[in-house]
Amino acid sequence: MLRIHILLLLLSITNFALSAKDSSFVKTEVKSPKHYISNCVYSNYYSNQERHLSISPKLDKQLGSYKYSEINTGFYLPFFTRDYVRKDSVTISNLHLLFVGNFLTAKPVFSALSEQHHLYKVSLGLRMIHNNGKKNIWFYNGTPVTARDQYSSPSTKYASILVFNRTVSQKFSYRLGLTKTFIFGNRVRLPIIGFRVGPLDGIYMSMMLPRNISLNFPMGKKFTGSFYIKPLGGLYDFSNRDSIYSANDDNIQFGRYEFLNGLRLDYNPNKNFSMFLSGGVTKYNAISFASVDFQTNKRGLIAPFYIQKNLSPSLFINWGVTLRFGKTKKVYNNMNMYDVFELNNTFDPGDNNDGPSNGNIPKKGDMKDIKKIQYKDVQDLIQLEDLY
Amino acid sequence: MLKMHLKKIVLPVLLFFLPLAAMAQPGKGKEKIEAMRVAFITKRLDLTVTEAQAFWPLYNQYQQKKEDLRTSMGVLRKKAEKNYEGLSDKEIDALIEEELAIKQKELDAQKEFNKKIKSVLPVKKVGMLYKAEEDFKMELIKQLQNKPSN
Repeated sequence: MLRIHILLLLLSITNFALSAKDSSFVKTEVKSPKHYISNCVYSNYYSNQERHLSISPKLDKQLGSYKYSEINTGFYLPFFTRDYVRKDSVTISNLHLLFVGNFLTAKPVFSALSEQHHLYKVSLGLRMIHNNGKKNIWFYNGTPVTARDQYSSPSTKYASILVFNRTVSQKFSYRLGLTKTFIFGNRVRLPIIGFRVGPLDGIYMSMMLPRNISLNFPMGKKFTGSFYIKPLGGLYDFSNRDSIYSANDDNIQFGRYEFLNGLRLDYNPNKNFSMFLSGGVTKYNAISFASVDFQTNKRGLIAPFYIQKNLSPSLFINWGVTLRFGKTKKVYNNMNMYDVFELNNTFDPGDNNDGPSNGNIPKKGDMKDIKKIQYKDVQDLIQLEDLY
Repeated sequence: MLKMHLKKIVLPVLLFFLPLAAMAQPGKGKEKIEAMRVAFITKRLDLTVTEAQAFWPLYNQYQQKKEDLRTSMGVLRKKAEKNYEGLSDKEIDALIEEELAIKQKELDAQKEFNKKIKSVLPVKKVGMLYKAEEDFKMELIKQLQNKPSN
């Protein structure tokens, strides 16, 4: 009896194994992409020229001339995307959550200092984007940031952005919001007011105050050009080992910013890779030093003890590469999603105003390209019965 | 100073990344065709701003489903072609059933899309959409007629 039981058990196990083999044999289910936004890593380099300081006779002698360069590497990784079908059962709204962060190394070179200060800025934060599927998009980015030199102990600042975007049409959108930022070399809370005129996959002008003003134009199929003005700066914990501040503070605050007026050329050979080269003149250059126990004015701004706002203009060079990974959902002609991409690229993870390019916005198709297609490109698109 | 940066940093990094840029992208041809189809349909349908805002997310979602199903079909057919003689009757039967199931899923997806799209576009435009899709396919076939099959 027991033998029969064992035999039946073995038979059922074998049968189960065989049926499992059969079902796995025909298993063809393809994993559909989860996210609209691809994983992105970018790295940008920026450098300007040496200039003389005229802060105060004592400090000018102590610091010498000034020049600045930085390498900023940032990323965003979507970890949650969900589509929701609205009450009308056709409108698709979506929510996107992303991890964002950056690592910046910078070198402000003061020629008279025997040992130079190297600056480091590290951020790791969260980003949330909600597209209601109609015309509205909400964007929030919150990033704790540590920004300091190699001698000072780390302290954390908090940078944040909240933006409401309304995509009125393919050719026009406007944005309103609030930001707490350090890109003006100080701790400032500012409103965001902006608009875009022109389609994002064509010629468009974008004014996103206080972040950037740009005129963007495609140059052929793989290049994009833009004229732009934007601030670039930061506020760093800075060691007082050179006795820049006469008080007995170990650390002080070093603030800097300049407005870049430049021309930028982007090369976007495909959606996974893009690079840019940019150059121009910096204007409204400023550096400042403030005490850690800073005095604040009525608007909560740090009142520096040394500031130079009229540093002479300088030539600058800025270039970078962007890599994007992962299969993403289709977004052709989905203007809301184009604005989601643009928001996500404009407001960079590390509060540095130096983010990746818009290389992930699909390019307009051109029917002239039909002559270049090959069999292998269409074998999954055309079925045999299409030929009858 | 800029010259120095150009020599020391910019050029080596550019040289490092250029091969990446030149690298052939799998599926790049398909993407180009999709972009062309979108341009073709956009021109034919002449959608209003409101229609376009509702239409494209639905159409993209439908196309994604269709693409996934066609990729599945491709996988299935490759399995069959690879070792057809070595397959058992049971396995061949399972393959046929699976192919029919995929075709059914594609039809279901089209029905669902059709139902949704009728609530955002006038029926005349829905008909124009299907006609435009067929015409685009015919354009592709015409272009391929005189090309070598490899």
